[in-house]
Amino acid sequence: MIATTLLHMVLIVPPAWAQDDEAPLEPADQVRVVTFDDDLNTGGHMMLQGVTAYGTVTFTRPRGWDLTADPELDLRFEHSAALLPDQSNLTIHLNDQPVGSVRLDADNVIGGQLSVRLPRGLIEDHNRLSLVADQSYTLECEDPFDPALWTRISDQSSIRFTYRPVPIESQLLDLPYPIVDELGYGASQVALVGPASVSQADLNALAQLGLAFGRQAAWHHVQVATPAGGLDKVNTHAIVLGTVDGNPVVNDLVDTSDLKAGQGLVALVANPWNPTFGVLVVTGKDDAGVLIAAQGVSANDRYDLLSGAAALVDTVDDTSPPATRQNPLPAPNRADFALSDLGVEDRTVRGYYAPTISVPIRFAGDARPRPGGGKVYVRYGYGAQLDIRLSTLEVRLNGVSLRSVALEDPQGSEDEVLEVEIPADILRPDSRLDVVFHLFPRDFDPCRYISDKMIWGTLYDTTEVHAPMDHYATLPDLGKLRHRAWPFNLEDPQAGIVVVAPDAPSQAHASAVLQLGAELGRLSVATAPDLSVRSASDETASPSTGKNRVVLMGAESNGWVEQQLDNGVLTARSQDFTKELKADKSLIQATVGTPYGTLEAARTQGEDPYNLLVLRTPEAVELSGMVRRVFDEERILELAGNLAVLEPGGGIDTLDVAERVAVGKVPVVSAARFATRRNWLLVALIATIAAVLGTALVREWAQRRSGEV
Amino acid sequence: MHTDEPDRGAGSEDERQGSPAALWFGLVLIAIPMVVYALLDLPLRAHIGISLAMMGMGLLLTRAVPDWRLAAVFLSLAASMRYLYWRVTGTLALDSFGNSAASLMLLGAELYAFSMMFGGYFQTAVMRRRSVIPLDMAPELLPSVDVFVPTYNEPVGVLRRTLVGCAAMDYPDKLVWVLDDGRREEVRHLAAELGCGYLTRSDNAGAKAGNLNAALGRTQGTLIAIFDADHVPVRSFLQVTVGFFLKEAELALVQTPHHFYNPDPVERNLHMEGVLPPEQAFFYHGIQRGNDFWNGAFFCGSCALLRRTALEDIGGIPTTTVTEDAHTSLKLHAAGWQSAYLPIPQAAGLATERFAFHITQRLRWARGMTQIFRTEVPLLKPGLSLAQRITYSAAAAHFLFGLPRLVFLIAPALFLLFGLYPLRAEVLDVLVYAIPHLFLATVCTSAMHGNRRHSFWPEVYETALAPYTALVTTLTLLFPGQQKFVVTTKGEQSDKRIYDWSKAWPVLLIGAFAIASLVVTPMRMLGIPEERGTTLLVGAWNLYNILLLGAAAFVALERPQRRSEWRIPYTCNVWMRDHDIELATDTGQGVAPSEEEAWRKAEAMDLSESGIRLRLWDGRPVSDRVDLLLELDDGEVVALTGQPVNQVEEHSELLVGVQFDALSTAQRDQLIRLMFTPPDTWLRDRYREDAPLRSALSVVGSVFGMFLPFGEEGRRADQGEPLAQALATRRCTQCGTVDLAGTKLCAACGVSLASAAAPFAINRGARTRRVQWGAVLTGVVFVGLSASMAWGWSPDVDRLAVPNNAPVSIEGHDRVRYHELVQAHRELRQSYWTFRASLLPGGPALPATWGEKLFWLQREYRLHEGDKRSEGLWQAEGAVRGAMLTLMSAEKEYRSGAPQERVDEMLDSVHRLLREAATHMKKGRQ
Repeated sequence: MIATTLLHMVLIVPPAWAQDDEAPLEPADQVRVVTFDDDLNTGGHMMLQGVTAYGTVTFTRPRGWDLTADPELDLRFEHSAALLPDQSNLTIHLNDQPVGSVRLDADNVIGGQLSVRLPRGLIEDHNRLSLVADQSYTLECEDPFDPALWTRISDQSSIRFTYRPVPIESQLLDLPYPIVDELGYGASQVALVGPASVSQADLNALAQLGLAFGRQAAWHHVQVATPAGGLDKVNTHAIVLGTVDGNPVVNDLVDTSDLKAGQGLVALVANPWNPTFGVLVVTGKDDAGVLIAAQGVSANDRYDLLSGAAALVDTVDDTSPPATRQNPLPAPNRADFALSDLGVEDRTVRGYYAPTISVPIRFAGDARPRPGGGKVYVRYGYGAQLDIRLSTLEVRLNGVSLRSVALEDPQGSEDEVLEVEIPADILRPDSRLDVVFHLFPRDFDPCRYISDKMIWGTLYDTTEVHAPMDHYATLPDLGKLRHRAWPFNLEDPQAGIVVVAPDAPSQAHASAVLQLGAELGRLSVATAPDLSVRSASDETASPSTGKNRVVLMGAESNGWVEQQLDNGVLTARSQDFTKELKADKSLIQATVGTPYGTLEAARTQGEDPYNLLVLRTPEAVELSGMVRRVFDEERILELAGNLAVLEPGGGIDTLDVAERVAVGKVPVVSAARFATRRNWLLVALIATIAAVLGTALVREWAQRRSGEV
Repeated sequence: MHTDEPDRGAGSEDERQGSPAALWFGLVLIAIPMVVYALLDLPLRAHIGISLAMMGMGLLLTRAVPDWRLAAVFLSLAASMRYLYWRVTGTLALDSFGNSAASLMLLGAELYAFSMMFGGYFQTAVMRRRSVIPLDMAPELLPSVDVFVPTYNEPVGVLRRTLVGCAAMDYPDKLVWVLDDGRREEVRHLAAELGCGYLTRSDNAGAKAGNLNAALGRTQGTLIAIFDADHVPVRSFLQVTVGFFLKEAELALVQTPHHFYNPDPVERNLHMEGVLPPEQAFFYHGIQRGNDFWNGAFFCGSCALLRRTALEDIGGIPTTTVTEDAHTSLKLHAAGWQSAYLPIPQAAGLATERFAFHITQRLRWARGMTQIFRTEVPLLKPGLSLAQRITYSAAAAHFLFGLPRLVFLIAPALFLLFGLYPLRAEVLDVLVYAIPHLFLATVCTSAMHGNRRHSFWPEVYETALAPYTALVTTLTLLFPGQQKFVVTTKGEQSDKRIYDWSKAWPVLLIGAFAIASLVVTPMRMLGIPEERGTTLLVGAWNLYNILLLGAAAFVALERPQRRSEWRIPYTCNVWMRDHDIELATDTGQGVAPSEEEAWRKAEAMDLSESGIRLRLWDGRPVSDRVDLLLELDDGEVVALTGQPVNQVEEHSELLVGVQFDALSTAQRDQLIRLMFTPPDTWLRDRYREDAPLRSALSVVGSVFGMFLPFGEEGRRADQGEPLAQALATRRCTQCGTVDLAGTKLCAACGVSLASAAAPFAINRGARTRRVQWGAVLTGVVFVGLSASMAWGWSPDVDRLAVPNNAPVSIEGHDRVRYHELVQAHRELRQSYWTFRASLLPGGPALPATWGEKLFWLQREYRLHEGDKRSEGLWQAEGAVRGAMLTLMSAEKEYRSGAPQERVDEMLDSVHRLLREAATHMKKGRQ
C-alpha cells in the first residue's frame, strides 16, 4: 500500500540569498557544440549516393536550455569531382523545412564547409535534420548507381547552440530531470552532498538511487562527484542525502519539523546559490526514513508517490527500478527469441542505397554457442515495382554474408521467411545481425527519372533467432566484463550484488557506491536487480549466500581492502596467490609507479565461487572515478586477465596472477560434440572397431546356437 | 531351443548357447560409437573425410574379409541413422501445404525403406546351420504321413505331375490325397488311376485353408505334407523332413524351399532368365534361413510337412486371411510351437507365366500379409519372441512397399514439374549425407544377399507392382476383413508377342510424368540458375526412376509361350539309334551294323515331356526318326521314339532336338519321374555373385536391350560357377533307392545301410568368399583420403559450403554483376592481346583511339570502387580494374616512347592481374 503525503511549498525553506536579500547572479549565455560523431552518434561519415540521396540526423534540445540565438549548423563535406556543379547541390532541411543549400562544385570537392543558421522557431524537443543531395554527372541519361554520384558528410560536422540555463522548477513529477535529462547531451553530472558520517542505510539508499538514475540515463553516463564543500561549491545538479540530523544541509533546504520516524522525505529544490541547478533532497528522521525516501525516488511507480516540490513517503511496495531504456535489449536467456524480445520493432528501408538494418544480439558473457550453431528465420516483406531479377535480400552475421535470396514476387510480398543457418564459429556473445535489402526499381531507364522512394523492404520484428547456448567460462577473468559487465550486470534474476563497505564509510565511498549503482543500472535490464551494500563486519555480508556477486572497493592507503582479502572471509584466495599478487604489485609499482587503481577478479567462498570484483585506488576520493573508468564502454574492452592496473595516464596493464577454473557446467553433449568434431577420424575408427567387435560377439553367439554369420 | 549339432561336451545349455541378454548388452555398448557418429555434426571437410572413412571401411570389410561383412552392416546402419536424423531434423519443408505434403510423404517413404533395410539385415545376419536328421529307426516305426494336394481349377496335366511325384516319394507309410474343391470327375479318375485318395466337399468355404481343414478332419496321418497342385516333390522329400519331427516333440513345421523351373515374367520378358536369381531365391535361401535361426521360419503353403496335433492345437489352418500359410505359422509360433527350415529344394513348381497372373498372385500375398499386419499386429502379438516379432513384422510390412515406391517415383516430378520441395536442403548437404547412406546400404545389401538377389532388380519388381499393391494394401489396411482368395492361373500358352496394356498403364502413366520431368529439367536449369545444382541432382534421380519405369514397362511385353511343357536342364545317359535302321542278321552278312553297334551314346542336355535335347559326340547326322533309351537314376529305362526337329553342329559335336512321338500314359509318368523326382534335380541352379555396378548396368541393358532384335530364345547368360553341388547320394544296394538322409535302413525296402550310414552336411548354398581386389583398392583409397584429410590435407571444399563464409550462389545483382565482369574481362583480355601484337616487329600499329576505347570500357563496366559485393566478385573487380589501369598506363608509356622493357613489364602485370581476376571470378561464381 502506498501512503504518500503531499507537502507543499510551505515546507521549503527560503533560499539563503532570499533571506539575505541578495539575489543570485543572472545566468549568462553559454555555448555548447554538439558534434555528429560524439553527441549525435552518426556512426562515422555519412555517404549520400545516387541521383537524389537522403541522409538524416536527429538531435534534441535539452530541457534546461533556453536558446538565446539560432543554433548554427557547421556542415563539413566532400563530394565527387565528377558532379556537374549546375545540376548538383546539397540542401538542408530542419523538420522538413529547407534551411540552407550549397552548390556541389569544384570549390568544395575537398574540405567543403557550409554554415547554416537553424531558426529557433523550428526547433522542438526532438528534431530531424535532413540532408538531401541532388547529384548529377551527366546532362543525359543518369545512372543512379554510378559510383561518381556521392557526397560524404563528415562526422566532424557540428551544431553550435547558444543558450541560457533555465532555473529549475521544484516539481518532483519531472524526475529524473534535472538529475538526468533524457534530452541532454553527454553524461549527467551530479554531485553528492552526503552526511558527515555515512551509514550503511545511506549507502543502500545511494545504491538504489544510482541504479534508478543509471537506468534512465541509459547510454548517457551519470558522473558522480564529491564536492569539496557545501552546495555553494557545487556546479552541477546535486543529491543531498542523509538523516535530518546527520546531514545539516537538509535542514537548510526543507522544513523537516513534521517528519516522523521511519518516514522519508523527498524534495526537489533549486540550488540556492545557482537556481539553474537542481538539488534532490532524500532524507528522513532516521536511516529507515532515508532508505524509504530513496526507494520512493528510485521506484518505477514514483509518479504515484511523488509530485509537487516535496513529498513524504511512508511505504513503497514495489521497489523495482524504472524500466531500462536500452535498445535493443540483450538476448533473453533462452534458445529461441524474436527481435521483438530485443525491443526491436519493424524496420523499413527504402531506395537504391537502402541502409543496412543492423540488430545487435548480445548474449551473456559466459554464453558459448553449441557446436551445431543456430538459425535465423528472417521474416520480411517488400514492395511492388521491384526489378525481381536484381533485387535481393542479404543476411549477414558479424559481417559474414550467410545467405541471400531474390525478391521475386513482382507484386511484392508481406509474409516471406528466409531460413538462415548460423555456423557456430561466427556466433559470438556480442553479435550483430545485418539485413540488407538490395532494391532496384522495375523498368529502370537511366534516361528517365524514377524515384526510388517507392521501393522498400521491411524487416519484421517477428524475425526469430534460434541460438542454443551453453553457459560456462573460465574465471576469474576480467575480460568477461566486456560483455556488459558480466557477471556483475545484475541480469541473472537469481543473483545479486553485495557491495562490501567499511564499517565507517567515507563520503568518497558513498560517491563510489552511487557511481557503481549508476553504472550497473545503465547495464542491467533485469526487472528487479538486487544491489545492496553491507558492512564488512556484518555477517550477513558473507558471499556464501547464494549466487551473490561481491564488489569490494577501497583505498590502498588504509589497507582495508587488503585486510579483507587476507582474512579469508570473503575470498578463498590462496597464500600462493597472495604472494604472487604481492610480488606482481611490487613489479607493477616498479614499472608504472603508483597506479591509478587496480581491478581484480577473484574467487569468493560462496557456492558460485568466482565472482569477487576488487577495485582499489590509492586514495578513497578516486574511487568513483575508478568505477567510471572500469565501466567505460571503450576501456572495458581492454580488460583481460584477472588483475588490471589502470595507469594514471589512462593505459591499462593486465595480468594473469590467479589460476582460472572452469565455472558453470559444460554440458556433456556439447563437450562430446566439440571433442568429436576435433577427432572425427577417431570416431570413424572407433565405430569400425566397435562394428568388428559386435560382429565377433554375434558370430560367437550364433555359432553356439548352430547359426552362421 | 534345440540344436542339431552333436553334443559338444559338458556345460549347461545356457552356457553352451550363450545368453541373449549378454549379447544384447554387448551390442548396446557397441552401438554407442555408432550413435555418436549418427548424431555428429561436423564441418564440411570433416564430414567428407568421415564419410570417406566409413565407406572405405565398409568396402574393405565386405570385399576383403567377406566373413566379417556383418561389421559393415553395423556401419551401414549408422550411416543410415545419420542420414535419417538429418532428414528429420533439418530438411523438412513445412512452409506450405504442398511442400509439407510432399515433404512428409518422402520422409515416410524413407522411414519405411529404412525399416525394411533394418528388417532385411536382421533377418539375414545370422542363418541357421541345419543338417538332415537321419530316419534312424525301422520303417514300421516311422510316423504316418498324409500328403495333401489341394486343387481347384488347375489343369489335370499339371495335377498329374504332382500326383505322380507324390506317389513316387520314398516313404513306407504315406497316403496321397487329392483335395478337389473343383469337384471334377476327371480328377477323381486321375486319383483312382494313380492310387491316391480323393476328397471333396459340398462348398468351398475358406478356400484353400477350408479345403485343408476339411481334409484334416477326414484323415488320420500323424504328419501332414502339403503340396500345391503345381508343386512336384522329389522322392526324398519325406526322408529328409520327417526326421526333424522325431527329434523335436515341439516341432510343428518343416518348410522346404519353393523352387520354380520356369522363369517369372520379369526374368522372361526382360530376357534375364538364367542371369538373375529368381525373385524368391532371396526369400527361400536367405530370409527363411535367417528366420529359422530365430525359430521364425514361415509356413509357405506348399512343400512343407506339419504336425497334425499342432494344427489341431491352433484350431486348424486359419481362414480369416488370404495368406493362410504365414498366418498358420504365426499362430503356431505364438502358441509356443517350433519350426524348422531345410534349405534343400525338395519340390518344384511353376512360376506365373504372365505378368497379369504375377500381379494377381502378388496382390493376394500383399492383401493377406497386410491383413496379418493389421489384424494380428505381429510386433505386439503375445507369445512371440522379440526376434519373431521383428521377422513377422518385416515380412508383413514388406508388402506395403507400393505407396513408398510410388512416392520415390513421383517425388522428382513434384519438384521438377510443380516446384514442390519434398525436402529442402543444399545440394552439398544432400550429397554428404545421402552418399554414405546409399553407398553402404548398397554394398552391404549386396554382400549380405550374395548370389540370391542382385542389386537394383528388386526395385524393378517393386516398380512394376507398386501401383497395384499400393491400392490393395491401403484398402486392406483400412478394411482388413475377409477377402476373396484368388487362385493363380498357371500353365497358359501364347504364340505371339503381346503388350499387356491393361496391366502396364499405371506404370506408363507415371513414366509419362517422369519423362515430362526429364524434358523440363534443362529448362528449369536455365530458368532458375540458383537451383541448378538441386535440379541436376533431382534430374539424376528422375533419370534413375525412368530406367526403373522403363524396365517395369517392358515387363508387360509378353514373350510368346509356345511350349506346353517347360524344358528342364537335365543330364542323363541316352542311347539313340535311327528308327528305320536295318540291322545285320545273326549271320553277320552285309554292312548293316549289329544291334549293339546301332545304338549311339548321347547325353541329355535338357528334357521336357514333349522332347529332349541331346549332345552326340560322333558327329554323324541323325535320320528323320529315332529310337531313344533314357536311363532313369533308379536303373529303370524309358524307351521312346521321336523326330529330330533341329540339328546343330557345334565344334565336333552334334546338338539334336528331338520331339517325342505321342507318349503313352506309362511313358509320360516315367518321364515325369525321370525329370521331377530325383533328389538332386533342383540343386543345379547357378547364379553369379552380385556386383552392384554390374547389376545396375544389367538394369540399363535390359531396357535398352529391348530395342535390339532377339532370337526366340532370348539371351542366355553365362551361368558362372555352380554354387550348389549335388548331394553326395548313394543308392540302396537292393532296390536302388537314393538315400539322402543317411539312414541305417533303406526307407523303401528296409535293407541295412548301416555300414555307410553317416549324416552328411547339407550344402548351404555357399556364397563366394573371394577377395575382390578392385573394391578393396577403392576402399583403401577412401580410407587413405580420409586419413590425409584428418592429418592436415585440406582440399578446397569449404568454398563449396553453402552457409559458410561466403555466399555460394550468386543471386540477384551479384549475378548480373558477374556477367558484366566476365564481359569486361573478355574485352580487356582482347585489348591486351591487341596491344601485345602491336609490340611485335611488323605487328599492327596501336589504333589512335585505342586509349579512348579503354576509357569507355572502364565506364561501361563501371570499373570504379563499387559497393562491397560477395568476396570473390569484389576481388575480381579489383583485379580487373587493376588490369585496366595498368593497361592504360602502359599505353601512355608506349606512346611517350618509353623503353619496350618497361612496357613489357607493365603488360606482364596486366596478364597476371587478368589471370588473378579469372581465378576470383571462378571462386565468386561458386
